[in-house]
Amino acid sequence: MDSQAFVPTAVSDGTVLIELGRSLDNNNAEDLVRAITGAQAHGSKYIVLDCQRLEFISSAGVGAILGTIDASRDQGGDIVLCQVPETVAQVFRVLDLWDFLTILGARQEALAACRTR
Amino acid sequence: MNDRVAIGPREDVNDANSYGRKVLALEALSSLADQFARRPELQNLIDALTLTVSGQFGVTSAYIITRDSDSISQLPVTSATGRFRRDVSVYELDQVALDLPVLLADPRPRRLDDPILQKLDSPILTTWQQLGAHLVAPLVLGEKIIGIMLLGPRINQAPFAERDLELLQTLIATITPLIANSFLYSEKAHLSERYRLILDSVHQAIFVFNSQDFLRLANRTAVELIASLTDVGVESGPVGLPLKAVFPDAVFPGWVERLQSARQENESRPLSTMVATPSAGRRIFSVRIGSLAGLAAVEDETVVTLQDITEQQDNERRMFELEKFAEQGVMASSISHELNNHLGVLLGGVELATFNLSRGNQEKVAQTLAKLKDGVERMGRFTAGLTDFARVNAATQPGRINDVVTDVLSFAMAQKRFSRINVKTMLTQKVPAILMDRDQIAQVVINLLNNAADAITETGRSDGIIIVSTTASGSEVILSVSDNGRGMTTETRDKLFKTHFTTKPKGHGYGLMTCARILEHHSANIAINSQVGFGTTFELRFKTASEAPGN
Repeated sequence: MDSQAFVPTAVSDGTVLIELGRSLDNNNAEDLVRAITGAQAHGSKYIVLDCQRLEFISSAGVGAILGTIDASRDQGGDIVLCQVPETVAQVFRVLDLWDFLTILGARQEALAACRTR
Repeated sequence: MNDRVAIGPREDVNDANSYGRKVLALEALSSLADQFARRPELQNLIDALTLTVSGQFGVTSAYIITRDSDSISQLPVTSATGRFRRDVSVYELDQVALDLPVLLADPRPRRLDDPILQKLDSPILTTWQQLGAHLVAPLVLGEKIIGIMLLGPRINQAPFAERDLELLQTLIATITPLIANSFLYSEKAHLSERYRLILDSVHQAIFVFNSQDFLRLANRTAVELIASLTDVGVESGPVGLPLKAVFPDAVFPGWVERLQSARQENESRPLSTMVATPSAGRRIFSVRIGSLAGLAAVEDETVVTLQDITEQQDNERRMFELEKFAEQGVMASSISHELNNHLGVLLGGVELATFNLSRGNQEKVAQTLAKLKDGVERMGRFTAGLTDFARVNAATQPGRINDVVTDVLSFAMAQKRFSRINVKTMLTQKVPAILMDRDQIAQVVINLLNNAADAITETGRSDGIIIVSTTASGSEVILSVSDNGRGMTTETRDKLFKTHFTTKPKGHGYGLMTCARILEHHSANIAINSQVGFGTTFELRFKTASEAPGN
C-alpha cells in the first residue's frame, strides 16, 4: 500500500476518516503517521481509522497509531478504530492495548460516537 | 467512555499473551531486517524502529538519536514519535558515555528511576525526564554507544516489567548492528553526494561510459552541454544513452570513432581539440579521455572530459591578429626611424656640398655628391630589402668593419647633432674580416653614433666626445662606441632592447631594438658599460669571417 491510500476524508466538523488497506506495517506506517499528523495539524480532533480491509498490522503499524494518539487526546479528541477484524484485534489484545484504544464496531457507529462527544 | 469497547476482549490472557508478544517481537525483527534490506538508509531504519518499539511496548512516545556515520560528519540523526520531537538533540553520545558510564559498561534498557542511574546524578537524566522519558536503552556496538533510545510512558500506564526490558534488549541487540551497517550506506550516500556536488561544480563536462559504451554518469555541465547541442533534454538527460546517441555524428562529426580509437589505444591524454557543429554554430572543445580500469570495484569505464574552448580560441585568434597588427605598426615606425637616419646623413651631405659650392670648391662638391649618390643607393637598397629586413634575413658577405665605420663617419659627421661633439676614431688596422651585411651594420653604427650624440647633447656639455674604436681579440672583432654623455642606470640598461623603450623625449624606442635584431642575425654579442653622469660604451663583438657560423 502506498501513502496515497491514506487520504483523510472529512466527514464532519473536526472528524476525518482514513480507510486503511490490507496491511499496516513498516512499509506504510510512516505514511499513516504523516496522514494523521497532517489532519491533526488542520484541526481534526477525531481521526477514525476504518480497519475493515485490514488483514495485518505490525508493531510499526501499532506504533503509528500510538505515536499519534497523544496529540489527539491532548486536544480532547481521539483516534478511533472501527471495523477491526479479529486477527488485528488479537494483536491489540496481545500488546495489552485493547482497553486503552477506542475500538468501535461499524463505521457509522464510530462517526456517530465522534459527533456526540 | 462507555462505548469504548465494541468488540470484547477474549478470554485468553497471560501465557498466550506472553507467547503472542514473542511472536510479534520476532515479526518486528524480521520486518526491520526486511526494511534494512530494502531501504538501508539510516533515517528509514530508525523511523521504523521507533514505530516498532512504540507498538511493541505500547508507548505513545519513542525517540532514537544516533549519528549519521561513524567517521564523516557525525551529525545527529533522530527519530521521534508522540510527545518527543525529532529536532531535539539529547546530548552528544560521547557525553552520555562519560556521564552515564553504566550504559556502556552494562548496556541494557533501564528505567530512568533505576537507582544506579539516579546515583550518577547527571544533568542528562534530568533533561530526559523533563522530555517525558521513562526508559533509556543504549545502542552499543563494541566499545561505543552509537545511539540512545528513549521511551515515554506506556499507554496503559503500567510500569515496564522485567520481561519487557529483556524483550527490548533482545530487539535492540539485533537492531544495533543493522544501524551500524546503515552507517556504511550513510557514508556512501555522503560520499556520493559530495562527489556529485564536486563534479557538478566543475566547469568541464564529465562523461563516464561503461565498457558497452553506455553513459553511466554525467555531471551537470555535461547534461546542460548535451541539452544545448542535441535533442536530449535536461530533464531526461543523456545518462543511459549509448555513445553515439550522446555524441550524434550530425553534431559531433567523427567523435565516436575518435573516442573509441583513443580508448582502444588506452590513451589518457588530451585529444587536442575536437569540433562540434550544432545548428547554433560551431563549437570547439578540448577533449580528454581517461580510463577507470584497474580501480577496485569499478568496471572498465571510460571518462571523457570536454571543455568548451570556442571563446578561448576566438580570443586567442583576436589576440594574434592584434599582435600582428601591432607588429606591423612597430615595423612601420622602425622603417621610418631608419629612413630618418639615412635622410639625416643625406641632409648633412647636402649641407656640406652647399658649403663647398659657396666656396667654389668643385672638387669637394663632386666628392660629396658621389657620396650622396652612395647614400641614396644605400637607402634604395634598404627600402628594396625591407622584406628581407623584416625577417632580418639579409645576405652577409665578408667585409671589414673599419670600412663601414669610416664610411658612416664621413657622412654622419655632417649632421647638426655632431656639430659640437668631438668624434674620434681608434681603428686598429688589419682587423680580420667579418661576415656582414654592410648596410645593416652601417645602420647599427649610425644608430649608436646618433644615440651617443643625443646622450651628450642632453647633458648640455660642450666637451662632448665620442670614441669609435675597433680591435681584434682572438677570433673576435670588437667595435666600441663610447661617449661621455649622461649615462644610464642599470634599470634603463636592462630595458634598452625592448620594443617601445626610449629615454628620449621624442624617441620611438625602435633604434636599439632594430640594432639588436641585426646583431642577432650577425650572431654578434653586445655589451653595455654605463655609469650615470660619466657616459656609456657599447661594445659589439663579431666573430671573424673564418669563425662565423655557417662559414
